[in-house]
This record gives sequence, C-alpha cells and structure tokens, in this order.
Amino acid sequence: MKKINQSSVELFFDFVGIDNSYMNLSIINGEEVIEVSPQDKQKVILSIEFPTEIILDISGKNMNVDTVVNEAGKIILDKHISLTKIIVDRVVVPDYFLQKWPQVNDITTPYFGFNGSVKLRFNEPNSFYWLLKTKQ
Amino acid sequence: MKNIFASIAPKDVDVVLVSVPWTDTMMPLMAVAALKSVTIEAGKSCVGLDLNANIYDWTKTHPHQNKLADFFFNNTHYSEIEDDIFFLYKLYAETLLAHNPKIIGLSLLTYACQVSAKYICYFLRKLAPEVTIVVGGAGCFDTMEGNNFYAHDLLESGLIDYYIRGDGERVWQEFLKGNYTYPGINSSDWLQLSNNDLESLPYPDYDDYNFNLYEVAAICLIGSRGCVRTCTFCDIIEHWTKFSYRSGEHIFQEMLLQNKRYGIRNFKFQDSLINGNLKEYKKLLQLLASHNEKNPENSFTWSSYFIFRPEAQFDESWWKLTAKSGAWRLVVGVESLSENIRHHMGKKFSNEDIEFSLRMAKKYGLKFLFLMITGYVTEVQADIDFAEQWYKDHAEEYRDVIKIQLGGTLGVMPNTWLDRNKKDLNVVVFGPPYQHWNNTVTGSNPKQRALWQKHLFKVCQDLGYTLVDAIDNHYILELLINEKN
Repeated sequence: MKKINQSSVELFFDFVGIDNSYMNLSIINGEEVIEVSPQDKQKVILSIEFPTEIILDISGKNMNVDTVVNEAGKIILDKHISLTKIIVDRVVVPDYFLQKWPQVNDITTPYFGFNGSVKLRFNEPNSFYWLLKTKQ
Repeated sequence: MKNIFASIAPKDVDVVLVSVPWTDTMMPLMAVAALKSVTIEAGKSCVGLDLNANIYDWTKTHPHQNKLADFFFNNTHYSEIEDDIFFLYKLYAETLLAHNPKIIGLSLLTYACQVSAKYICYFLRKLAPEVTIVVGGAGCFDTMEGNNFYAHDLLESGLIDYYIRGDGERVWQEFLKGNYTYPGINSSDWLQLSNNDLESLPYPDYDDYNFNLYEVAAICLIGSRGCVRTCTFCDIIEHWTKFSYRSGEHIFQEMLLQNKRYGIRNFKFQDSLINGNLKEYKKLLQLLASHNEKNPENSFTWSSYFIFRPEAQFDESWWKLTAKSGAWRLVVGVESLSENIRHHMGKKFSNEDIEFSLRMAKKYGLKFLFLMITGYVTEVQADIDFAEQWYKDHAEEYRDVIKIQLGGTLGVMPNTWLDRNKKDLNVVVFGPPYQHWNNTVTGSNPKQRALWQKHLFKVCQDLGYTLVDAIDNHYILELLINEKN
C-alpha cells in the first residue's frame, strides 16, 4: 500500500510554436529531471511525495522573433507553453485553480511565454488537503 | 475525531454496498438493502451498510454543522473542518476495505452525495486500487433524467470503474453476471421495471443496518415506481415514464417477512405515493387491517407519501380503513394553499378536499406531513398572505394533525415542464442551484422567496405547528438570502 502522502500527478501541456520551433520544458521533481518533448497536448505523469515543489524550467524563446505583432501592435503569434490541466490522484483540479497556482516570481499564470522558472507548489501534508484547497 | 464506524465488525465478502453521505434523513436509506438481496441472490457474499446514518448522526451535533453542509453540497473549503473531513473519508474507506471486497458499490441518493463520493473514491483508489468501484443512484446525475457528466467524469479520470443508471436492481443483477453492456451500465439508456419485474425482486436485506441510529426505527419498502400525477415541477415522471406497482398482497407478504426478520412493526414506504392504484391500495389496507385486528400485540404501523383525492374518489370509508390499517403519517405534496397555484402545478384537489381530508384525519387519528413549496413560478405576495391566514385559521383545530415541511423554495429543475416552458412563464434560470431563477414579470427572486419561506416558518412556529427543520434547508435559505440578485 502506498503512503498517504505519495501521489500521482498528471500535468497536461500545450506547446505553441512558430515554424515548428518550440520552447523547451524540463520538469524538476526532486532529483528527477524530465525533458518534455514539444508536442501538442503533452501529458506528463509524475510520482511525488507531499509536501513538495516542482520546478518547470522553460527556455528557448527569442524575445525578438518569437512574438509576432501586427501593425496595430497586437500580438498575433506568441511562442509559449500552457499548463492546461492537472489531475492529482485521479481527481481533476478545477480550471480556475490553474489560473492562480503556477508561481512565476510574484505572479501566477498557467501561460508561460518567457524563459525562466515556474514553481508548482504542493505544500500540504497530502493530496487530500491540497485538493480541498483548490476549491478555495 | 472518534471512529464513528467503530461498531461495524468486518467480515470477508465479495461485495460491499454502502450509502454515501450526505442525505438529510432520520430514516434508513433502502437502496443498499435492496441491492444487497439482489447480490446474495446472485450467489455473492455481501455487506450492505447505511453509513449515511452514522455521518448524519455525527453532523447533527458538529460545532460547524453549516460549514459541513456547505462542504457536502459545494465542496467549499473551510480550514476549521478539513481535519474532520480527512479523517471521516479515510475512516469510511478503511471501514469498507476491512471487509476485503472485490467490488464496492456506492449509492448516491441525491446530488448532495457527489462531493463525498468523489473523495471516498479517492481514498479507495489510494488504499486499494485493485478493488472495482461502482456508483449508482439518482445522485450520480444532474437531475433524475439529466446529464451524466459527473459519473462520466469519475469514469474518465479512473476514480470509478462503472456507473449504473435507472432501476438499479435489474441492472445490478446483470452487472454481477458480467454483462457490462446491459442498458444502464456506463450508459444513459436503461429499462424500466414492469409490475412483474417489481414482484420478482427479492425483498430488501437490512441485516447490516443498525436500527438504533435512526430517530425512527422503520423498515423501508417500495410499492411502486413513478407517479400517477404530472406535476409541472417534478422530474420523477420524466424518469419513470410509466407508473408500475406491486400488488397489495405482495407488499403485505414483504411486511410480514420483514417483521419476522427484524421484529420491527413500523414501515415506511419510499415510493412517490402509496395510493396511486386504488384497487391495490384497498387490498393492502384490508390485509393490514385484518392483521392488526388479529395481532394486537404485533400490529403494524406505516407511513408513506400519499396524494389527496376528491371526496367522490376517496370517501370516509377509505379514511376509516386507512386508519385501521395502521397508517400513522401520510406525507402529502400539498405544495401550495392557493388553489390557483395548485391548479397550475397540476395538483388535482381543491381546498375543500384538503378540509375534508383534515376532518377525516382528525376523526380517525391520522397525521399528515404537508410538503410545501414556497415561491412557485406564479406565486406573489397575496398567495403568501393567503397561506399565512390559512395557517392561522387552521392552527387551533389541526396543529396536532399537520406537520409542515416548508422546503428550500422552488427549484426549476431541468427535464421538468416548468423548465421546458420557462420562457412563456417569464422565468429566467441562472442556476444551478435550481432555486436560482427570477420571474421577470412578478419580480420573484431567490432572496424574496427565501424570505417568504422564513416568514411562513416563523408564523407556523408561533402558531404551534410542528415543522421539519432540515439542515440542508437552512443552508440553502442562507445561501439565497445572502445572494446579490
């Protein structure tokens, strides 16, 4: 029997590239590092132990060419990665929670259109408490 | 938190069936008992537990009762109850798994069971991923005949293996045979049981129920499925499109057997009405009256949902026989005291019929529970004033005859006549919850209806009537009153 704080986490990503060029994503889960290949709607399954923190390391964006704007200054194409869905121990986390969860410095967003790190915090004793708080 | 399931002794079985919280009832929930007997008949060993009763009992005295209700209904997080919730569901899952089952069947009576079912499945999967999990019951679906998004999502995410829809007994039989493509298993289509089907089912098995937990120790049974009325607000008629029923003789035989098994003389019918088929109703009354006359030391009493009928259909002789048969409380969907509202609803009895029924009840010692809807789609202040006056006029004579349940105001549920005709009725629904609707012409809104309900509650309370004071109604009314319209 698994320990109550051991959990399965499924992360779903959407990669949007320009001319078949995508950003790079590495998931750092303790000592484990997973390189995620840039395919649409990529799903990654992790085994974690609460409490913990997962780091998404994102790179490969050239800010000069990977954001295309039209004459009016409106962005029409932007190379990025989105976190689109998360399932923890088979429980689907509400969409609205995704908007306020991935931590990038002082802000939260599931849209990663920059090079840098994103923190995914699982800062509860186990996934039950964590899931409860996704409804806050 | 103490182990509220500590009295349940584990024994190894093939199947565990269990009721999921949270249902606001002081009575046994019978689905588990009905399915247990089907399971035993199929040759599998089985335990059938009504753990909702343990949890209901625990909730009643909990210091954060309203927060628990809000959590059970909406999954709302409160730090004050998170430890209790964690231990509750963990203990619940461990209690089921202590029986080493291969299959666990979770029975969801209403949508208020959905939050709990999800977390119970979470713990079951975590603690014993090899166990097959099946959910069933009206609570798996948005409404009786509505969408199955909830069950489908549980299936998709792997929290359950199967869901069952419709008349569960036959579907469960087929499931246990391994016939997983039978209508009603992981599908929206299902087959309604006929009169013969109802009589071919084994009688419910309450061996694992702890009757000390209930405020009223009663054996529950079902005499019919569906209804003979077509009320505008009701979705039961959409679910069971045909009224099917058991014979009076067959029902009576079950009462005799259950009385012999458990020594309980009090029965509660759980179907929509007991007097849908007057011929079979009369037969049952005659058998019960005869039994009671011959067995004064073991006479039966019963309560049931019931419809008022005009005196021409249901004269004094019926009331006399109903009383002799042991009826003690008849639960009647009166819904409104305004005739014009009842007429709109499709209720086929007049205020004079109510008066006659009250006189008969008083004369023969019967009791009524009036189920009322406050804030029907056509209801206006004048109807509330009329109701208030009615309660005042009848208090002296009938406060001991009538118990009143004022409910949590009208919900316009999908798959009802009201919902299909809401545009013509000037009703704009913005729920769920289905109490969230406005009438753009009369100005009726959730807050006003909740205040009407609270006003009538106070009026009736002051007049000395007994009222049903349900935890879930408190929760819903507060929600509606505090809402911005």
